[in-house]
Amino acid sequence: MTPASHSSAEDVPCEEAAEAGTGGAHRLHDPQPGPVRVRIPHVLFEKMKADLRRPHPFAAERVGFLSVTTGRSEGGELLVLGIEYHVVPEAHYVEDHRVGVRIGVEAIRGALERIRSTQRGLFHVHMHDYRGVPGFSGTDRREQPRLVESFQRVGRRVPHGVLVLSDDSANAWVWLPGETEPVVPRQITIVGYPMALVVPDLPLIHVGQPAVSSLERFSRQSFLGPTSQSIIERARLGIVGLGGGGSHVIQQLAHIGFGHLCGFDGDLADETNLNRLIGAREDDAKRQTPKTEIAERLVRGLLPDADIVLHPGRWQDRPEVLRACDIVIGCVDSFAERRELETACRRYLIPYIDIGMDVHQIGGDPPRMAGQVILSMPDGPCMFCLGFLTEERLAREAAQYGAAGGRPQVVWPNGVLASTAIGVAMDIVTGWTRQRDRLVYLSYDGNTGEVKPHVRLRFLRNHRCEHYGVGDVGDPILHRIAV
Amino acid sequence: MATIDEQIRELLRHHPDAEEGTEAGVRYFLIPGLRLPDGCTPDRAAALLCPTARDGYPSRLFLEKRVSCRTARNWNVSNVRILERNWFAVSWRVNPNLRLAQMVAAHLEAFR
Repeated sequence: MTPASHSSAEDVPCEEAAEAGTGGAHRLHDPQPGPVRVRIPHVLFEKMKADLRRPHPFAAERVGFLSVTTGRSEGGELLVLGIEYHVVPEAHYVEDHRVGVRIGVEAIRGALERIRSTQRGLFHVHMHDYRGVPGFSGTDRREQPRLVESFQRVGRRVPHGVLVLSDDSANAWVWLPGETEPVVPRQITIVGYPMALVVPDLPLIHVGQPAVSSLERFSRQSFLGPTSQSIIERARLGIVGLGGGGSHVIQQLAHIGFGHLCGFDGDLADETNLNRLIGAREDDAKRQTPKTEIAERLVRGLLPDADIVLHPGRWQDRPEVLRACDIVIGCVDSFAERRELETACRRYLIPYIDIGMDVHQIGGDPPRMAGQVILSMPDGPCMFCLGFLTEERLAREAAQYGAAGGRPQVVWPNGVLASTAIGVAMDIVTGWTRQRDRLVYLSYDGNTGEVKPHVRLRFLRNHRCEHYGVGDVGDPILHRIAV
Repeated sequence: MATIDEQIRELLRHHPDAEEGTEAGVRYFLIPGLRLPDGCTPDRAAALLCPTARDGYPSRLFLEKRVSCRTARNWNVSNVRILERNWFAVSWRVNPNLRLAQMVAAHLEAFR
């Protein structure tokens, strides 16, 4: 639908606004980018599109509402996280051929009641059925602020807004709590496999603009797609653990050209790390160089101007840094750490890729080397669903707390697992293989060198997570207990 | 055995400010400013009760910080992140068949 013919005027919100005493119309001009990121799970995005594309008996288009929750990331940036879509029932549309769509007072009352009862933000959603970053029409500019004013009246402490979808992208205006003017998010991410990373103020990122920097350096990876390098330069990847696995990961990300990286590791290099820590030198072991420093040296050697945030400690000390990431790759040692990382990533709708390996020896048999690469996508099966994390395994690990001795670790399996994880991350970011909604649980047999889909995938009952729900997204809400 | 509602009412009688939250399907009870046994420094701390099995323990009581008490304890959980806060816990096993308020009291025995 062209902007000229698009008309989502709803007169009813004006009545609501008048009831609430908010005054007359307020036409918007050009909202400016603000400190906001919007994330919407791919499943939810598809659900909204499927509803909005349905022909209506008399309206030219459909509208809906999206409930959102929030979080804060680095620098106080607001994360707006889509969690639930609400269809406007047929009976709540009003026939009016002067406009593309009009919804009745019941639809607006329902929306306001939803805000009131949940104290969650609400976004009005409609769709322009073409590809690329959709724009807002003159009618949107005239009508939507009045609707959002009414939302703000009942939900003062949460953000509200307007979301417009296209076939493969989205655009939004976000009214921060207490603000009368909206802002344009710095980034809108459709979180899925593959991921759509939209920068509304740079719409060309999604319609074929080549990367402006270092075209020659990255020319051999241009097969990843015409916009791939600009997306790579925009995306922020986090690496937790910069030891044997993480050092491979960050080195590869730097070679690929990821310009925004963050990493966490509180360890110092020592002699036992030199058999596998990529980038480490003999003098690092002598000087006990922090692993974050070795990682930074590695990245700066390739990308001197990269935006790198490396924290020489645990990610739990700087969780807001992690929340700003588009993908997190975990290279941690324990199951308990994996559980915490996955929970944090799911909370802020971040795909989490886990890698790990171990060497076991039973009796006189040769040592067995095994590892895994798992993708935990926010709306897909979690590591509990996949049977990788179990309460029994966590209990066994907790019982061995403080057990002395370094576990066997060598460089080559870390390289295989890190490269495999990078392959997954690259496909999520660029979509170059054109696989969609791929489930990743790969097992690595270090004795044979095979990497193959884990047998558990065959027995997965469904592809929805049975452990994390809508209530696990966004900053946690603690309730006073009522019995 | 008391119903969960009865247990919660009892918990609230002892800790009127208690709140609840869930994460990954697990229900937690937050007790802001839980009074710790005599001899503990500080004498109060926010506590998070996980009344179900976790890490091989039938239940756990997490505190917002390590506290010192008369007996040295094995703090085997440091900075574990639950409900977006960092928590600490000592290795302390209590009877699995306790009511919520009893669980809190039994865990506090670790700090006497």
